Amino acid sequence: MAEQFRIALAGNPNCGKTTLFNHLTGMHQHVGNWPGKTVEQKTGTCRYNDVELLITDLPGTYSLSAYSQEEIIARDFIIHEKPEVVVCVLDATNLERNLFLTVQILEMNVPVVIALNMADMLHTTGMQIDTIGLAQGLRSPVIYTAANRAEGVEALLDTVIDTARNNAGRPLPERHPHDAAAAAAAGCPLHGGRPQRGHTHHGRAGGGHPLRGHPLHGHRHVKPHAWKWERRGMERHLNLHARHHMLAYTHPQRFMVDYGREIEEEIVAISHEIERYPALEAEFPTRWLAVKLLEQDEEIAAHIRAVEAPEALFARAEQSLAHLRRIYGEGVDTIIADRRYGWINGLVREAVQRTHISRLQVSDEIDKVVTHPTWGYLIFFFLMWVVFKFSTDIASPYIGWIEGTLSGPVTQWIIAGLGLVNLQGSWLQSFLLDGVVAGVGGVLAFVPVLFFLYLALAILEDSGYMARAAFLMDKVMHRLGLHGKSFLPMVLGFGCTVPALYGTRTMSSQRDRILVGLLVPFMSCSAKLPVYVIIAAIFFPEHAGLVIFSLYLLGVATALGLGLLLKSTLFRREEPSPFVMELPPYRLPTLKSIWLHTWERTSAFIQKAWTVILGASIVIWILLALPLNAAPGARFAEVDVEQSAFARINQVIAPALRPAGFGSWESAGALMSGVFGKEIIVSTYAQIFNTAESAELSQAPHLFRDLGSVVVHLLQATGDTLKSIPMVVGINLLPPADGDDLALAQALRADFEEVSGGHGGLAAFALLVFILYYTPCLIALNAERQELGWQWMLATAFGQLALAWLMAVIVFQSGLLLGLG
Amino acid sequence: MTLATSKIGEEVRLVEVQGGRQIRKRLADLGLNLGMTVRVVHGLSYGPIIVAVKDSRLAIGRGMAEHIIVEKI
Repeated sequence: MAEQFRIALAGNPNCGKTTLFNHLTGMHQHVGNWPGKTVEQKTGTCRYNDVELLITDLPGTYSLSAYSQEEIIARDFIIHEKPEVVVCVLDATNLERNLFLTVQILEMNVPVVIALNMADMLHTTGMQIDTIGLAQGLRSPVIYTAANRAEGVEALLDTVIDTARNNAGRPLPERHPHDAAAAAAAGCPLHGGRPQRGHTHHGRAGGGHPLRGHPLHGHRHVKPHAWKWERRGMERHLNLHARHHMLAYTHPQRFMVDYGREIEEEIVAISHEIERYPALEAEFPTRWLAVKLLEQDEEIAAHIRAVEAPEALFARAEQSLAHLRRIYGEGVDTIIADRRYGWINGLVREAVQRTHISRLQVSDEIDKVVTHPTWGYLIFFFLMWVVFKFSTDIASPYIGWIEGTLSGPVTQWIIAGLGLVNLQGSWLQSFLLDGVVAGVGGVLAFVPVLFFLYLALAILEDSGYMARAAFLMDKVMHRLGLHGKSFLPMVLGFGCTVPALYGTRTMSSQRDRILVGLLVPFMSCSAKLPVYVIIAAIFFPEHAGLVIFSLYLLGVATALGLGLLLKSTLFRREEPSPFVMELPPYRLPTLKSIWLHTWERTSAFIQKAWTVILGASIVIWILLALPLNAAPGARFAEVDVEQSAFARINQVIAPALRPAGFGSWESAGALMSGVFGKEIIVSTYAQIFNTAESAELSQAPHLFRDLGSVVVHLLQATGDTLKSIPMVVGINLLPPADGDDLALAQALRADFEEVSGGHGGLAAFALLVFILYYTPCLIALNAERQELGWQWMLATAFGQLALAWLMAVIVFQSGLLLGLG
Repeated sequence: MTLATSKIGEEVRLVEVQGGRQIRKRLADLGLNLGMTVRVVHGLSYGPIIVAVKDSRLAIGRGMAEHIIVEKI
């Protein structure tokens, strides 16, 4: 069997860790949840030179204290799973802050390899990093990488494997002299044609100033422009040059931060106490545990209390803390953090030279405009509008193509296929076409809208704009007792409530997550849009755009009102969590990361949704096919719609909807089916009024010709999409009506006029309001149960149903009083 | 004076964080430990502010900034 090592990737948010993970594992990754947590767990495998690496992408964190679930997960993984190597991914352009996490990981006494990522951006900061100096200080190998360009990754893997083998006591293969020779042959500018010089020096490096008199310090004197990543192969030379030296650090020595005499004395005292508990000593690195106790880490305290109940140890820690408080005042943890930063500052001062001003100046200049009190908001609303238009207009040709393909060639093939086995026209045909194909269509019809929405949002996120949007929105969200970060899930909600609910995971406090989770369903999701469009086009052909816009606005206004209400009632006692957020520098997003971001969210929707929507479609088909209290002679799948089980059930419910003006069993049935997915509302109406197109059989199906036409139509849809891009700022929401839609329109108008007593338009508007508010679809409810728990899920389901009924009744009755409709 | 009342462009040193240990720790994790120097880059009136901490930029909510006591350098 091939060698196998378990590797963990750790790093700050925005350091390029996930890009590196994606590059290493490619398609061989598995995305799930950490056991018992609502934090995403990503694992994957990577084969490199006959070694298999099992890679876990730890959540991005700034620290390993117990501030958030993410930090606890990352910490527990390193301690309990004991990966062979932890790769600390650092944003090289923000080295000092990034090292804060690295130091905490090193203190856990695990083998670490440092990836100085974003090395391609280093030249813009005017920073020159001496990797060997850094490696000496951190006692771990340091490798340059630029994960977005897939550079430095091989050198990183070589070093990771060297480190893992070294620690497993296995010999390293003979490889390095050859590499060095190759570097010389390639004219490595750093080796200057003397590749062997001083290569063993660092193995012995100890004492004295780490950098002084280093034979290879030539690169410190290379002019800044020589560091430009743009030079082809520069990375390889930099890393190759460094890697022989890094071998010296692949066998980790004990890493320690000196916390100063007083604290060190207490660490020693507590460590002695810890050694009296073998179970604790086996589980935790002793010194690390001692420091954690001094930091008063409650999570660790609770954990060891459960393991061992070491009362003497707690007493000792309390005594130490009391002693230190007498010296430093209250904040012992502040002093510990201060010593860590001090240590890092010393290291950075030795290993990093700064030549010119930082690239953040450019970022700051952009921020002056983008976060401007006036321009900032204008830019924000403009961008949101473009995103919205982008996802609806550009997607619509593809939706048309999907529907056309399903109702055209696919339907014909099914009918032809059934004809071959003599089942044409049977209940099976009805099941396949009205149940299965309709269900598949229901799922696929969303994919284009969601895909383009997530694509647009991924560009805004990866470029760094979303953090600025959160900054701007903080001023508004603050009033609702929420902070800026909660705005992103709200925007995601316009696409689909499910990813929006998962998006609440970025918030650290449970209170915020619940509050946002309750408000998200009021953002009209993309499944509601086609329902709004079709019903508005039928009843308000002149003002359809205005009606749709007012529904979106009503949803947002309700969310704001409900937010205020909840903040001052149910969540009155709980403080809003503090808003502190990093604003990453602006970056040009890479195609790969945008694609992965978009695909992850879209495919998550497909995976969650397809069973529910397809199942719902089949259940509704069965209820429609099943006769109940029907006239004699009615048979399965041949029953009149009005005598089906579906109609009978909804005839019972319908009277409750009468005050809202749409109390027909048809509407009750359509709304009920909408609980499975809002877009089903329209197709249920169509099924009930039996206006859905029946497949044309005049043309004999022809597999190859049909396949050809499917491809041609796809190309046409792409052409239409490209043509519509310049129109993104204009409005073109309404599809032209065709014959089937006209039949549905007439049937619907007649039904609404009759039930509402001649106020069809008003009743239709009340129906739209009801659709805006009522119970989210089952997929969303399931996500809510996972994220917030049963009780909030039930509160949402029934609360929104009650609210929808109330609002629809108010709209219809007040409309009647005012003499509208 | 607090971080919220600091002027744009001003360099200030963190003196005290009012509030719980959790908040103090969170700020320290992001590079805002007591005794450190930050520069106020930008702010919205009655809204959040942006500060420069080492090589990064942090957005801090108004409510939070009002609880961070600083001194001018």
